[in-house]
Amino acid sequence: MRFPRLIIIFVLLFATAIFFIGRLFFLQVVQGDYYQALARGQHSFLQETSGKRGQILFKEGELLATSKTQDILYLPFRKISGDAVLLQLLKDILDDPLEELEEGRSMTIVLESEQITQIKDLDLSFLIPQKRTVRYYPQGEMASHLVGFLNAMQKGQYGIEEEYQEELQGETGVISWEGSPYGYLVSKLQDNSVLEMGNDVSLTLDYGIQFMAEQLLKEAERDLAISSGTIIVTDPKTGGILAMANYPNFDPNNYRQEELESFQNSAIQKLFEPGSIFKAFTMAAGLNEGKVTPETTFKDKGYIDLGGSLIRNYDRRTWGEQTMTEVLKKSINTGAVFVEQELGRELFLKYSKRFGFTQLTGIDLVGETYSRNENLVNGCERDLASASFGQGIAVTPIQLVSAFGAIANNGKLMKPFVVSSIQGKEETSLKSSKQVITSNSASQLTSMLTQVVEEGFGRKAGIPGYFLAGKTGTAQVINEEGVYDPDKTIQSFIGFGPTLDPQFLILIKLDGPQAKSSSESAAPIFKKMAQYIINRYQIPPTVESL
Amino acid sequence: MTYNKSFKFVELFSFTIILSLSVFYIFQINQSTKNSYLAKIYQQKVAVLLDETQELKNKYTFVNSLENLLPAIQELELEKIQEISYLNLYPDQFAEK
Repeated sequence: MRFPRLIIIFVLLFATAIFFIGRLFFLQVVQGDYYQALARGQHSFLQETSGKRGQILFKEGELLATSKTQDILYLPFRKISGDAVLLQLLKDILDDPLEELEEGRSMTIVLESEQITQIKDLDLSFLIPQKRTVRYYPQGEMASHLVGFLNAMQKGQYGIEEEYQEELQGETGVISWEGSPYGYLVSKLQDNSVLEMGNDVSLTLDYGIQFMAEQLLKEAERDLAISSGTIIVTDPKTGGILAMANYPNFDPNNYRQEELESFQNSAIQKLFEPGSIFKAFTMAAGLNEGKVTPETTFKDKGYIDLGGSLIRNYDRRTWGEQTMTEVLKKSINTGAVFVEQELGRELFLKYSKRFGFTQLTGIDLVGETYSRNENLVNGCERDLASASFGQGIAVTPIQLVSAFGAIANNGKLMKPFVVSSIQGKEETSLKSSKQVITSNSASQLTSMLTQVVEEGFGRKAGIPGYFLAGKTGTAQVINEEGVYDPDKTIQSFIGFGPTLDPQFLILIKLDGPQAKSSSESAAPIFKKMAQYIINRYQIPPTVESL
Repeated sequence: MTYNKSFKFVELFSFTIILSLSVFYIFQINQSTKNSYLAKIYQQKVAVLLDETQELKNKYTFVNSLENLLPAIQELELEKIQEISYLNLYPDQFAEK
């Protein structure tokens, strides 16, 4: 009798166990995901986020853009508004008038480390300090137009931040947050370190040269009262940008406080008439086509009549018989027109296109602009004559730098670029070149431009012991009424050195300086910039200075 | 009788094994939980340290930025270099070892 009873009990226990195991299997395995999600949904929240954004670095690894963690506190209006004591307590701790809260809106505030402890001591379920990652630009305003900024949507805007958004941004994904019984976020169940980081982007920009360029523009504002200005420094052999400075610039850490127009990168977006600098390109075309040589002479009467108002030289000077070298040295407008007439319409336009004045340079920065210069392409003889000395033709500073670089680089036009490597991997796709004039023509022109600095209008750019080639440019500015403003000019100087083995090319562009001509304003700034680079790169002199 | 004895022995042995394995299992679960908890704590500490390192790096960059160093250098009133002389050394001036 005992034996069957035991068997019955055993069978019952076994059946019960099987039932529970079966039920557990059904709940935990078959429908496990469903119930898990249901439970998680009651106390956790999902948030779309991305891995840490890559850094932007100068050539030698100095930080230009990085990320930092901030402690923040969300202040819910509904919870605080009814409690005057708490509101006052928060004002005291946070040392802030909490205006948004007073106006009936919830707000988020950035906390200092000692404030975190004080907030935690309040022990309130709806006041929990959180952490967030924000973009940080430790150099402040430096190279702000080039770097751009990260907007509120966590998208790069302007400059490198926008152009290299895909490379910089981390992997996107979803992370979960734990919530309190009242629905306030308490803590991350996982952080975004589980997501892959973005790539670091290294620039060709030299920290020291960039800083010096910006300092020189600030000096120009103080001494010459410029309204704005641009300095670009490149390595003419590669097209790599060593500095791209604009004045005024902005602080990308506080971009919300800036006017929209302050984000314009003048170096690649602002069109201007280059003035006499353009004579170098007219001469390059003349030399390359064999229409002139450095010794070719022409007779200057002080003006040229092509219908309409007479084309005259700077300061209404008359020079008489002059060689082509003298044309550049003394910046003779009628001499440039002479070369243009020797070339003829087709050839002049062909070289304008070859040097890239009717297209984008293709620099790896977002928002580059250019002018098709249709008034020139479809223009009359007078328009072409004016263009030969840089009037009536619109270019950007980067176009000018790129084209002038071809003269320094044995006639090879290099595509300018600012990114040297991504996550340590060299960016070779950006490098490209095109032969626009022969090496011989480039050498002849370099020799002529060296004389501009040695003996001509560019003397103030010269540095003893070094052969530098360059050209001044003073251009009038068209005012709102569509005529040239007699009181406002853009004064520029562009040059490179040492001429036998160019290591740098510098463009100085000053808008509205209180100076008579660029030889008084831009040329001395070029000298300072060149001297700094020579010292920084320890470039030995070409000739023994006396 | 012999059957009962050996059955009891098997029972006892099985019970001992079950008990010891259960204790071992509980001990292992405990260790595993403890270690995974420790790993989580260390991960959090690593994250905090990484944040602090980044913060220090940012502060270092800011404090040592040329913009901040310039006023400090100006205060020192250092003598400006007037001229840099380069020595011309030609290859034939050196003797090969």
